[in-house]
Amino acid sequence: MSAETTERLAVELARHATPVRPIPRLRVAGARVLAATALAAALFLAWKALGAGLGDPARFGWVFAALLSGLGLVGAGSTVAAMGLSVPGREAAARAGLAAASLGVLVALAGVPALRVALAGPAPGPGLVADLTCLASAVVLALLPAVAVLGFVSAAAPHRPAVVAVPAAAGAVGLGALAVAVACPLGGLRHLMLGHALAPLLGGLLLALPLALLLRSLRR
Amino acid sequence: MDPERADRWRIWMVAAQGGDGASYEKLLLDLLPTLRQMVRARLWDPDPVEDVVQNVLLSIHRARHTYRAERPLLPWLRAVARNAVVDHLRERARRSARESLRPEVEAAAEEVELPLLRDSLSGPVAEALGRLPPAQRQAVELLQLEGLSVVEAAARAGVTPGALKVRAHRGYRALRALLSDP
Repeated sequence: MSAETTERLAVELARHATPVRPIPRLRVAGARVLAATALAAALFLAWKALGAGLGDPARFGWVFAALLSGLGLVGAGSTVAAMGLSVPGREAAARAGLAAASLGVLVALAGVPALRVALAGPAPGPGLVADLTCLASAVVLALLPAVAVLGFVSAAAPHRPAVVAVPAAAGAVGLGALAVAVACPLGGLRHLMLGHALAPLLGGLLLALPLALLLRSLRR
Repeated sequence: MDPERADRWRIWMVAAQGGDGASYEKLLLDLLPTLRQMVRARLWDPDPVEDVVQNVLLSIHRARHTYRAERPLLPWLRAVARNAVVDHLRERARRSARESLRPEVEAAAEEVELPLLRDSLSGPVAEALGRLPPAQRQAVELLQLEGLSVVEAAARAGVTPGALKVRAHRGYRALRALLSDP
């Protein structure tokens, strides 16, 4: 292919220069995701407060704070990574997001054994149904932030949409899992691991495929 | 990079986002030497450089709304070029894997399809072509009748080269099925 053809293509493309609206800044898109998360969390916490009652976030001290911080880091970091991967030239933001998310997983998982020690009483942990209920709640709460992330990513230019869907899903579930962890009064090592600390990974895997398919259809 | 030149590119890009074709043309033509340099630095084979640069131009066109005026243009441009090179290398690896698996089948398909469409666009062939879905028909016509390259045809159809190849491939398959039906 000749240089002349390339120049012809450049001229041809310029002839089709229709006006385009630049995508919003990452921080604006991030604020929208946070607003969506806050709305989902507020609705969920209100519903829980009216029903079974909320867990006391202060009950486990710093180890509980570690779990919440870990989930927050995974949620925010993965979301930033998904958005950064969708905009050319924002790879540094994506890398920082992925680093924060990895740190978040470590923090959340490290807090869990200590949290178990902190739990008083010999009562056995809740059953598998309770674990899965918390996991499913995190996925449901992830839907609103996922829509906000998807709105940005589909409007941007992800190089590999299927790859971007993975941090987008993990981030949304991480944000959803935060509210669930605040509201959940249950303890037990398996419950804390399966229902809360690992929710962004497990729920993210569940949500990644539908998000990837949705992203593909939105970008067609 | 000369800061004045970088600033000029930024201004042209913002104008292009507003629909100013003249600024857009100036920008794309002025970018070409830099793009060639970027692509050449990432490919050890000089043959496909122009092909990949054309893909970069198409990517710039499709992703121009993702550039924000407050950020420098060069990192954005580098990322777009890098993605196009990665796509090219992946496509080449896929193609060579396919070719090494089924060389006879590929060769036979080429032999059958090209003369069939170019030389006998009448009667059943024209009718079969008319029965294809519009996107597939357009891809086949652009490649086989107008003789455009994949990149040029993709630009004309407003899709990625990969998508155009998929449409054309489906079109060939559908044509073959339609023509083999008694």
